[in-house]
Order: sequence, then structure tokens, then C-alpha cells
Amino acid sequence: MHKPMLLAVLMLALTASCIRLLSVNAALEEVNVVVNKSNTIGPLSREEVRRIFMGEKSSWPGGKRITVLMLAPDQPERGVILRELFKMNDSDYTKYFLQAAFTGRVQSAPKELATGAQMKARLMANQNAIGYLLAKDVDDNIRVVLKLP
Amino acid sequence: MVNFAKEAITSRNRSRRVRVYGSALALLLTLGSVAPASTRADDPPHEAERDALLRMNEQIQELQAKVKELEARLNGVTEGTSHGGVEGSAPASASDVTPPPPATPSVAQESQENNAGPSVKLRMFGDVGYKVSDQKGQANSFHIGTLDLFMTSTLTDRFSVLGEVLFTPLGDNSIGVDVERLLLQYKHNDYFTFGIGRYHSSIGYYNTAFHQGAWFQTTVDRPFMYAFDDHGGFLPLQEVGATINGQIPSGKLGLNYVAEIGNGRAHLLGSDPAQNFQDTNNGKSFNFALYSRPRWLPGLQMGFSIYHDYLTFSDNINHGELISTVHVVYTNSNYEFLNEGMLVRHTGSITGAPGVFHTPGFYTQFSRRFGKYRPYFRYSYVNAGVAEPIYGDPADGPIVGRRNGPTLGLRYDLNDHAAFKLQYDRLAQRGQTSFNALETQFSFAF
Repeated sequence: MHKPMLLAVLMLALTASCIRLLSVNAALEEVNVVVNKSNTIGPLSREEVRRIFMGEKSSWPGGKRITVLMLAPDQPERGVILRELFKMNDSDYTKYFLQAAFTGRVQSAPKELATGAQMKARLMANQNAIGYLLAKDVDDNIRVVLKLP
Repeated sequence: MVNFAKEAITSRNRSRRVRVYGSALALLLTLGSVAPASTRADDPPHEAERDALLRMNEQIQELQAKVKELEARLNGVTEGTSHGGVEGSAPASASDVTPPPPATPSVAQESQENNAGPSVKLRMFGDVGYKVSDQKGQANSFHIGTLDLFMTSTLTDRFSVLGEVLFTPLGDNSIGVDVERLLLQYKHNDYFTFGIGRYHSSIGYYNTAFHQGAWFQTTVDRPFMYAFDDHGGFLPLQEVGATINGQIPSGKLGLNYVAEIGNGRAHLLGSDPAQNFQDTNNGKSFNFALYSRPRWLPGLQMGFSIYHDYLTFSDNINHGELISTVHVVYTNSNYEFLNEGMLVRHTGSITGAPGVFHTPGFYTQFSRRFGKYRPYFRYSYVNAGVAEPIYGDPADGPIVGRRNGPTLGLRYDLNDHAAFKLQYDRLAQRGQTSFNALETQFSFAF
């Protein structure tokens, strides 16, 4: 292979590495736990959010049932939530809610949505919902209650 | 015409360029994962190419976002058709993701989410295996375990129902059908849930942590003290009655309570231990359990339970029964360390003369996960006296006696819904020869 061509390939490889690095950084981007804009709940601690997502706390202070929303397993934000809140991987998460339903401890597992856009739409529509979005996707239509990690 | 031809050429050039860039991008991504980084990124011609690639990357991301948005809209159209029916109860996997809402938020959607009509969530559990043993009179056998149909349904925002039907192989090779649980629950809030029906009593930890599905538990079988009645169990693990439970506002202590009242367990030979329809006496069983899940150490649970009942037999002799348990368990994704102790106190005697008899028991179980493998160890012990009025009288059911021994095994999770277990047991019993057993089990949830 000619030297200039080799250099060109190396340069392009470097570019590709940069692009991959950028995408990895996107995956590590801040994830915000968010609720409906009309929800008056104050900022929540990590422990409070963990209890809500694990089904240990099922209603808001006013008594309304909390609707917990999760993204599908292929979404990077879900990894942050599982790691930071559940301290579980996807298999453990599945088993946890299956067992929780089996014991009658939890009546239903979190609703799962395919994309962040769906999550946002659901959060805007449901006053009792709690979910999470990448920080860059958060706007004035929803309210942030916790920033992760 | 000229414009059309020009456009066609431009289009062809563009598609060729896309193909070239696409191929280059694929090559780069491959190389990028193995090639060392270069420091010559400031070379002008390559800088231009890098810019082009970055633009392409942005365009790809935009296109991906548009595709996702279109998928969301498409799914939104189909959402209205998916009401009721039978669903899985576990968190949905990627393939059975909840259909998304319309892009425009609506109040109707919230209403639909919270007030959708009842639907049944069905799950099934089962297990099969093979057991070899050097116990006298026991032939090595293939066997099927219990086929467990588990159903839940949310009737309203606060009412739900839970049902569990078992198809259990019996000692005479027949299959018995059993309504293991049927419980109507009202959840007022996290501090108060009321249930009525047939349920697993909250005696200790294991009974309500694992229930019937063999797939849930690490080991092949339950510890002696928590064996179900069709496996020689002696505790009132199933109850027909009413239960309340919930959290106790206690900050970081994480206290929870359970209080139950029910028919108790029948010990008459030949009768079903769970008194589904008719109690043998007017005295009801009471059970109270208190446990803590401290927030400063997720996975830790400590607690106790106290159960009391009067047992009446055909000779009309009443025996008081008091069952106390304590437990300290720690579980997380990798570790499982279960420790429980019990003391059963029976009053009266076989002859009717006054007397007090204590039956102690405990087990300790430890397991550690290494990827898909989870080796485990357990030691179980229970010791009921020979003159024990309930556990020592063959007219009142199987003799409990003394049983103790270690269990050693390995669980291998084939995937998220199936596991293979290999278990060795050595069991010593009062008045009988100790024996060894090796058992395999495939357990699954679907």
C-alpha cells in the first residue's frame, strides 16, 4: 500500500474513532428524572426516586397512583436508570418485577415505551407519570425532579 | 428535459457518493475499533473529509430520529385496538413494548391509562427433573414438578385480584389440581393493603418470598421448615382468611407489618391442610409479622413473626399452637444469604394430659452468582420430639421427627426465563438411615 494511502486510511480511522467517542459521550449524557409539568412535587432524592421506580412507593402525596414509565431495553437512558437507581442489569430487573408481581407486592410493572419521544408525550399527557429523559430532550413542558448520574 | 437529465445524473452521483461514503464509513468504523489513533488530523484534505463524515453522521442521526418519530406515530394508530386480553405480567421486553401514545398529549389518554378495563396477566411456571437416591425403597425417577398458572388482574385503581392454580404430581402418580392462592386485594395506599381469600401466610421470610414457582428460588426445593404439605411440610403455610399489610412510617428503618386472621391448618389425617371452606373450630388463627428493610443497606431484611391457633382433633382435644420465627436475610444481584429460625410450641399431649412441647428448626443458605452460574449451600435442621402431640402422632399426619443435613448445588441460568439446577443432599433422620440424593431440575417461567 502506498504511504499516502496508508496515511489517509489512518486519518480516516482517527476520524471514525472521534465519531465513536462522540456517540459514547452521548450515551453517558446526563439523564433527568422527570414528571408532568402540573405535578407539584418538589425535587426528589435518589432514594425516593429509587423507591418509586421499584414499586415501594406507589402514590403521590395527594394519593394519586404513580404511573412509572421505563424505556425499552435498547435505549441507553435505561442503562443509566438501572445502574444508578436499581443497581441491577436488565435480567435482574425483569426477575425483580416478575417476583414482585408473584408475591403480590407490586400490582403492575412499569409501563415500557420504545423511544424518548414517546416517553415525553406520555409524561406530558399523564399528570401522575414519572419517567426519565436525556437532559438535552428536557424542555418547559415537563419538570425535572432529579438529575442522574 | 435537460433539467430532468441533470437531476437524474445528480441523483445518480449523489447515490454513488452515498454508497462510497457509506462504504468508507463502514470501513472506518471497522478500522476505528482496531487502528491506533493518529495525530495528523490537521491535514487539510482529510479535515475536509472528516467534516463531510461529521455532517453525514449528523444526517444519519436526524434520519434515525425521524424514523423513531414515524414509528411512534404508526404505533399510536394501533394503540386503540389493544384493549383487554391476556398479557404477560413481567416487565415487557423490546418485543412487547407498550404501544406509544399519540404525539399530541390528551387528557383522554391519562384516563385510559388509569381506568382501562380489567385484563388478565398470565404467567406460567414449571419444572422437570431427575432424581437419584440411595434411600431404601426409593427408585431413581424422572419427574415433573408443579405446573403453576399465575394470574393477576387490576380491577380498579385500588382493587386487584391474584390467582394461582397448581397442577401437582402426587405420590401415586396422579395429578392433583389445587387453587393455591385466590386473593382479592384492596390497596388504599402504601401503608394499608387489605386482602381476603386464600394466600400464603406470612410466617417467616421464605414462604412469601418464593411461593410456588421453582424458578424463583435458587435451590431445587424449599428448606424443611418451609416444605409445602404435599412434600411433608408441617407449618400452616397456606391460609384462608383476611390479611392486612403495609409500610410503617419509620424513615430509614423501613418497617413493614403484616397481620392475618384465618382458619388455620387442619392436622387431621386425610384432610386438606388448608381449610378452604369449613374450619374445624370457631377459633381463628392469628399471625403478626414485622420486618425492617433498612434504607441504609438495600437488600437487608430482618424481622419476626408470631402465629397462634387452636387445633381441634376428632377426640375434641384442643392443642394450642404458637409458631415464632425470626429471619435475617441479605440479597442483591450477586449475593444471597438467608437465615431463619423457628420455634413451634404445642400444648397438650397425645393422651390429653397437660404438657408443653417445643420444636426448633432453622436453615441457613448462601449463594454467590458468577455470571450465569450460582453455586449454593444450605443447611437445614428441624427437631420435633417423639411425644410431640401434633408432629409425633401418626394419626395427625406425617411424623416430623428430626431431620437435618446439608445441601450443595449449582444453578445455571440458561437465559432470563429458564434455569438448570444440580443439587446434592444428605439427609439424616431420627430412627432412619441417612441417605444421599442427587437431583437435577430444569425450571422455567413463560
